[in-house]
Amino acid sequence: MVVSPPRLTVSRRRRWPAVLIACCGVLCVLIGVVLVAVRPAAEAGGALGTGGTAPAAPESLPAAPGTVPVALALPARGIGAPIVAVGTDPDGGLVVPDPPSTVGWWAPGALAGSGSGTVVLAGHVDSRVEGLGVFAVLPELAAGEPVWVRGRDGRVIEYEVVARRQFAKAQLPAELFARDGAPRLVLITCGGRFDRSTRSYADNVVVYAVPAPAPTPAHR
Amino acid sequence: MNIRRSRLAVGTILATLALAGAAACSSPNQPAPGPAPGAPPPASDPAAAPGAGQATDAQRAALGQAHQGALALVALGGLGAQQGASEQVRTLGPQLQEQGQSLDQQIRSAANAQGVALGDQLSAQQQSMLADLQSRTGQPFDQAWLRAALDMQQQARDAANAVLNDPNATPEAEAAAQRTLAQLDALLAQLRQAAGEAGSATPGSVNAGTGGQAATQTAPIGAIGLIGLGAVLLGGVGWWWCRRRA
Repeated sequence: MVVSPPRLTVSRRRRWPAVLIACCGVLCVLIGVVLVAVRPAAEAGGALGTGGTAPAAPESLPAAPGTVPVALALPARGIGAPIVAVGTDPDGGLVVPDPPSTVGWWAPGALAGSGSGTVVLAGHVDSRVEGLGVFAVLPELAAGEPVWVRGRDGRVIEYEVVARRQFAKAQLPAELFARDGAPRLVLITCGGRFDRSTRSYADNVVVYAVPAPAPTPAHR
Repeated sequence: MNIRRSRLAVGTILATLALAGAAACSSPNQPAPGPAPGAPPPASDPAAAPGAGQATDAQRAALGQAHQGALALVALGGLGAQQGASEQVRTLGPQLQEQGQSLDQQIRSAANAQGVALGDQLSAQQQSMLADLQSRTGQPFDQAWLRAALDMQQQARDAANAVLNDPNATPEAEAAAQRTLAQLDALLAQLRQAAGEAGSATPGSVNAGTGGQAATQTAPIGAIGLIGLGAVLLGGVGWWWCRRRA
């Protein structure tokens, strides 16, 4: 005698692929929504800040001799790059060295290790010919991360990251280039949306760092 | 650089010159204003006019700082003449030096008239600023030197304009400010042109990416794709469910 399976079991067997597909659909929607919601926050300032304004500068330190910066290192990431002096082009743009592996120091600005003023370093995030640049890492830098700048006199000036901001290119604050005020280091590159027709980014990513409180003698 | 600090001293030159030219000083009931950049000349008080030999402490301080500011201009000019990489800086250096000497001459006259003794030392901040410049060479030196010179000029201009805009300024003070402005203008145009050519201007933009490899729009596109896929899957399941029920 053949016993037919209960009707309920058949119904469940027919239904489980639909349930699985529905679960996949819900998962896709959830992940997509999370990505869309989280991304703009990261672009606006990431874990280091959400505002479009520069962080408050600390008090000025006593006057100290500065040195022309010649090399940059992000020791926590094993990244290093040579630094060359650059200026401002006739159109008012900061001249960024062509090789994306090289960083430009805005020479009219402060010297590394100086007792006052902003040391401005700029580098390409990427290049059409040579790919990602050394400053492609800027959007990932975390607060407290060390940044070392070696001077022409051999000194290593230690800074630590305190903030990161993203500005529309047209709204890049002029105070970034202040040659007075408290000593700090500013790293600038491009970010945000990329326009393939003009081959340029919409924003600038700016990382702020201040002199590390207690430089280790081993690096001197 | 400690440019801001040296600006303070440079900015007092005009106020002091105006003070000397206008024979002005603080009123008995109001302390003399400090030597802030752009400070208008104090109210007139014949009792303390140059020549009266009765300088107040505030006047002594203002004259001392103005003198140091003029000395800083002279030193900055000399440094440009000596260490400039470009012909422009080597030419502008002596002109700045001359301007500083001219201003210092007037300050010394005012100080002598009031019996104020002046030193010959730059302030620690001014020395630091000059040391900062001295540690640079080549084009970076020229760029920083031009910025320093422009900053000093601008501060002096601001001080002069403050005197001119002050409704309480005496005609003598206004005349002193006008003379100084004319003196500054002659050099300012050259400094600005040289600064533009040397790349010393404050940048208005930074274009540091041409590849697009680091672009962030790929993530939103992926996210939108995921949402779309999820919607299609849910829609399909819903359609199947409705059909089955029917």
